[in-house]
Amino acid sequence: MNEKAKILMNNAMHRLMLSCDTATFYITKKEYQKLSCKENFQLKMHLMGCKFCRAFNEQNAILSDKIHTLQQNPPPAELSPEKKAEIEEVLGK
Amino acid sequence: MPEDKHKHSIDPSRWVGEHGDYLFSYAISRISKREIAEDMVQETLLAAFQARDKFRGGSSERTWLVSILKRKVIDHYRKESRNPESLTDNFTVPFYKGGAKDGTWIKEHAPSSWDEEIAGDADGALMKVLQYCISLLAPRMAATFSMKTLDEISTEEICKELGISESNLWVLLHRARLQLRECVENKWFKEL
Repeated sequence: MNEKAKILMNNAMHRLMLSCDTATFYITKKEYQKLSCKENFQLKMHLMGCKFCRAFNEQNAILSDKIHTLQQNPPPAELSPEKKAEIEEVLGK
Repeated sequence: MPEDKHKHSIDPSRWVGEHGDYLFSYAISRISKREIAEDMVQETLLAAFQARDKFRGGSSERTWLVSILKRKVIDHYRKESRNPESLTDNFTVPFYKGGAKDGTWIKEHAPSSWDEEIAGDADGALMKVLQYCISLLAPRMAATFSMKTLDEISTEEICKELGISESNLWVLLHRARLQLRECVENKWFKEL
């Protein structure tokens, strides 16, 4: 391969390769909407070679699952008795 | 006045007892600050009381009250995000900036592996850590994250309410997730 072809090849590879910053951005984005085919492909390629982003991907999914629970069934919490009394009083007027 | 049996009825005298704690748990999971969440429940019930004639009984009393509270939460986010302090953000982006390592993980901020049993979170302790970590997000980041993730509000509406651009919204969501992950790992997997 001549020099020029090598440089073109490198540039093409470079355009396809994601940084971890962008890969985690795509991982965040896919929690909310579908990635484009190109984004999806690039992310898959990146995840194959990057154990940190694979861990981020898994852990982010665990957190999403927890957040979903938080949304559906917020853990029980109680108004203070003082506040309850205060509201009752205002409503009673 | 004869009651329509098919419609939901309304009874403000029972509100605090029947819905108070539920409304509070809804508010606190979004606002994190106890006093503000309590005041918000109070404001909601007062607003509902004043508007009780408008309750049509098409939905349950609780659904109606939650819809009023939801509006109050968004108003709170909007006010918070207009506050210059909401831009204060001590979050460190966990990636190198510039140089040969540009965009790759900085070692001490990179994900470690999580113990599967703990990640399963049978006793809900991970949930508590997560809620604590959400409470540490900078106000504008918390508002964006919560509106998009917990309330599933459209991107357009969030941008309008918070006065941010769409690309800004995605940057905030990305950072919020990076920060939450690292916070949960530090608080839970390393400190315990």
